[in-house]
Amino acid sequence: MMATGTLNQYIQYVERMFRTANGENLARLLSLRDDHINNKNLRSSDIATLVEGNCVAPLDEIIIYHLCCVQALSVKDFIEAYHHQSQCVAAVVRLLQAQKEENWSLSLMYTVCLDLRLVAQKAELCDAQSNGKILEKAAESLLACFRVCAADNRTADEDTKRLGMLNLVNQLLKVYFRINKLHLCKPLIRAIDSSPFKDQFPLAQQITYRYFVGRKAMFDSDYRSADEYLSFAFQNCHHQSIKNKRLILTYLIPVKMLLGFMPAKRLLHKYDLLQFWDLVTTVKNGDLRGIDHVMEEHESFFIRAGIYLIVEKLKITAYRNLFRKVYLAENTHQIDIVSFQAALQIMGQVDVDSDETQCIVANLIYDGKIKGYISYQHKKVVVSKQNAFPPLSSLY
Amino acid sequence: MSENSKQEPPLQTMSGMPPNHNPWMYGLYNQYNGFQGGVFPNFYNQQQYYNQMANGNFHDAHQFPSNKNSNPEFGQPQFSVPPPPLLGMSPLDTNRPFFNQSPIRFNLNTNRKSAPIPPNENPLLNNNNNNNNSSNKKKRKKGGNHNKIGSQLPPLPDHPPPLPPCPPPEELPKPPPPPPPLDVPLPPPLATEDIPEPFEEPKDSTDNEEPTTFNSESSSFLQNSSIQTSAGSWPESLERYIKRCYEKCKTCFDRDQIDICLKGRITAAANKDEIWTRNWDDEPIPSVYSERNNLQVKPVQGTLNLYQKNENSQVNKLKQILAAKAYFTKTPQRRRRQHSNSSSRSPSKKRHSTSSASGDEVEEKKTFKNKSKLKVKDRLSLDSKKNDKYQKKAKKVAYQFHIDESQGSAEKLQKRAERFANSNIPSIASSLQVNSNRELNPRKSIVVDTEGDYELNNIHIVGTCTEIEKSFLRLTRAPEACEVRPINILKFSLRNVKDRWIEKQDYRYACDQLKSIRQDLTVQGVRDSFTVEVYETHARIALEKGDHEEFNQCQTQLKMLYSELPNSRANAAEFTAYRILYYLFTKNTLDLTTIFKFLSKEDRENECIKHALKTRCAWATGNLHKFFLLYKTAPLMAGYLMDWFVDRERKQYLKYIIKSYRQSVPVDFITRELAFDSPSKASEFLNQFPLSYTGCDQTQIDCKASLPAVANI
Repeated sequence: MMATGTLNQYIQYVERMFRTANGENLARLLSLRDDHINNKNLRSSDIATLVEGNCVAPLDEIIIYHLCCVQALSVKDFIEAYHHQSQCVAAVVRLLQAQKEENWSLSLMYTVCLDLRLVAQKAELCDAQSNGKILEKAAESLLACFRVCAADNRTADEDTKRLGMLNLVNQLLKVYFRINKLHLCKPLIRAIDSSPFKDQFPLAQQITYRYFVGRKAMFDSDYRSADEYLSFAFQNCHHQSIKNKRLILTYLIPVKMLLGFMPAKRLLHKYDLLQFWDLVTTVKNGDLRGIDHVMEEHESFFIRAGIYLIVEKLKITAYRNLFRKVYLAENTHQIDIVSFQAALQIMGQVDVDSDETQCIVANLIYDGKIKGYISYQHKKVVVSKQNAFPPLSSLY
Repeated sequence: MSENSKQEPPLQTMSGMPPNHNPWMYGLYNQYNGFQGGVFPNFYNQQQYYNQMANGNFHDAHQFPSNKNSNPEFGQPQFSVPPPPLLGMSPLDTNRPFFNQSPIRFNLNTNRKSAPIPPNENPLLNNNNNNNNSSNKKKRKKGGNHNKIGSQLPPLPDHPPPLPPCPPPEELPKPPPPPPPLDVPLPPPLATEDIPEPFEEPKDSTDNEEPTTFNSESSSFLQNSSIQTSAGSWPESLERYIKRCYEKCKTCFDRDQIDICLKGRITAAANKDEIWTRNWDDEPIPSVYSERNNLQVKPVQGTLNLYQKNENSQVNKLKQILAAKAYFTKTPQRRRRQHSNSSSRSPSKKRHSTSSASGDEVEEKKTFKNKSKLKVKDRLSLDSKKNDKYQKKAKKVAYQFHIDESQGSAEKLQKRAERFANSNIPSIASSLQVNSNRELNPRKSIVVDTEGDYELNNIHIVGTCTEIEKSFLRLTRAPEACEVRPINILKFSLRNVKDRWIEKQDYRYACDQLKSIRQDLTVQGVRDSFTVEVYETHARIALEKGDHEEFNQCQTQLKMLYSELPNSRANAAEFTAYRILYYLFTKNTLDLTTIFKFLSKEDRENECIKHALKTRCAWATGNLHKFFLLYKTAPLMAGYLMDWFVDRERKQYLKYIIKSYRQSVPVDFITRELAFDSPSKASEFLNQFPLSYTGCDQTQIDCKASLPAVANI
């Protein structure tokens, strides 16, 4: 669309789309990911004067900022481009504010907001000093949009701009996760969860949303809801978006493992997540040394994904599996602490003493992962005759 | 208002006069009412007062004829107060009832209020008073005295005040020609021209004279009044402006509006001492009703104009500020002094102007009182005329005008608040603002504000205080340079604090001193290795004394400082370790994850960080045994930090133990596992909970029996 043609044609086209309330096409015409940005006719160092007066009021500044941004992008000046794009978003905000009782322009808002985030990410890479400042600023622009949408509560349900909230929240979540400001997510999540449109948002947006909220729940150690959110995302994600499914699994797998569900190798293979496979086998076997080894080996992956600390928690599961093996081997309900201690030492924890072993066992008993008790006097662990090591999946 | 109601009867009678009633006049009164609302600061009222007087005079003059018609004796008896003593405003006499209107109002007031000021003493009138009184009396009897006063003024012979129906536009300019002081008050006379009623013009010689007397009086008022600008007269451009405004008027209604607008503008200008500086020729002329058919918009315009004025004057202010800034860079201390002078300048000016009227402070006070009285009176008059529809509209206008003003100031306040929120680094700008904000005049502050934000944001104070010890005081305004210590002094201060700390361990003293050092550093924008040292010192001391809040502030700052200053990172690892432990203390798993991302390999090799990471690991995997081992072997000051949450983890471990051991565990075991220094401390800890003990002399805890207590641990 408009890959060729003059500036005036472009302006007229934009105006027509605007008059006919054709949000989709308008959005494309003002997107940074459309063919028209390669159109050299639309580039000029002095766009403002060329457009000024040639265009109806609310559109002119949007077009000017958009084309300025295009111009800056063409010379790879991402920081400049970011500034133009953020002004473009501000202009769109004003447009949205002026439009009452209609929401056809939401797709325009989606487009400029997404572009803003992408440009901000690029600018962030260019400016080593910024350290997230640009993205933070971009988030403020997005929040301005969000406020306009969230405040539009007098309009009929089908025309309300509140339907645009989730898209913006997703953009914001992406930014906040990127700059590690997860505490800023809370009000956004609350806004969506209390929204009457919670379940009416487009499925794609819901999936994105739950992916992030699930991740956040995982970081907050709320594994049950993390499981819920991420499972929804995984199950509803389009089957062809392998990359997204892989992302979801990156978090869903450790959460599931903590809850006692081990992934099949087939699945890991399919999504190229075999880093987890070693983890699965070592945890299953209670191979503490193996866990340490796996964590060291894939450390950068785990840390990058932010799941290092979660994965570490699988050690507790490994203890439980190890002790269970001891129990099965001893084939008795009264197991010497020494046996557990020896098992731990075999697994590489050479400095473990009797008290530490007892502590670990006590922790497992406290959590219900072992049914039984420790006899301090006899230095024995007495386990239940039935179901001494209940399946983890039954605990949560 | 209740006071007013008392007064109502007489007033009503006045309004009852009606056939002659003059809408113009009502409009005027309405306006007073608006101002009366009290939004304006005192000195505002003062000016108002002046306007009133001026207008009042004119009205009287115009009204005069109508009164005469109705009944010469009518008004006086009713009011029961002899008008003359009042303000001496009404040159006209009691003979004409309607004339008395304004004077009467005054009288009423004084009477009601048990007359705090004897009418004669009215400071405002002081200069004139005698003259007026005497002149009034004389007039009453002779009517000839005006010559005296009139001689001062160019006679206005052709202009019998109430020129009836259709005065040619030419007439309008006429009023201005007289001496400058007259110009402001002039508008009202012009208005009269439109008044339909005044057919019964007074042809008496007295009548003719009256305007002149009036003028003379009003001019003298001008001189006395606080508004009076230093020069003592009005700029020509202002005269022209007023003229232009009135030329626009087609109806009396328009004139009402214009009058209100003008009054507002001129008053505002006078308040800001801009009467002479403003370019009145460029001042936009307020639109009138007949022009736009929309009354409502007008007040808005008024506010706009207010802002426009700001712009005009901003240039001057800017120069001022720039000059101050240049000065400042040379010698901070002196500059500061100068600055404070400048900030106090406007109030003092005001004072001068007021006192110039009476020449003495006591009198000045009285003036104020009188003014407030005036306001009440105005209200009275308003109420009596409620029924007039013109009046109502005008009232509305005035009211809105009012509100706009207050909104404007609210905006200013908000702006100011924003600025404070923005600037975590106090700059000169903020100090300027704060000082100026204390002034009565809100405008000045705003000018300084905007300029300050632009020009001075990055300039920091350089302190001049040389005291080594200084107590912390939360700043409620930007500090003075003399209250702030420069770095070389602060270095001694820090030394002193450290010594004192080692010597006496007085945390309150140390914290107080360190906070004030930190404050001085922040105020001066100092962020270098010394800043790091101060924060590290405070962080350590806070750590030792368990002051979580201060520690957190310090460690947050340190985190930023370390990233800003790669050369000052000597202790970065130590404090990173503390931070990890601090996150354990706050159970902040999210930040823990984040911090993990940024730890380099070398970081992890560091002994402190290693310890912290191990502690974290033991804590996360529920290995509290190991946790307490690490607690006992904590390096540097990590132990202090772990102290903060060690109790929490002890409780947790105790729960583990009680829930998983049977039948009993020895207290010794607990003492050991929970890393107590001594059995007594252990039992002190254990005694918090309703645990069951077995064995001789309570050396064993009965876990099963203690199970119910777990819920309370």
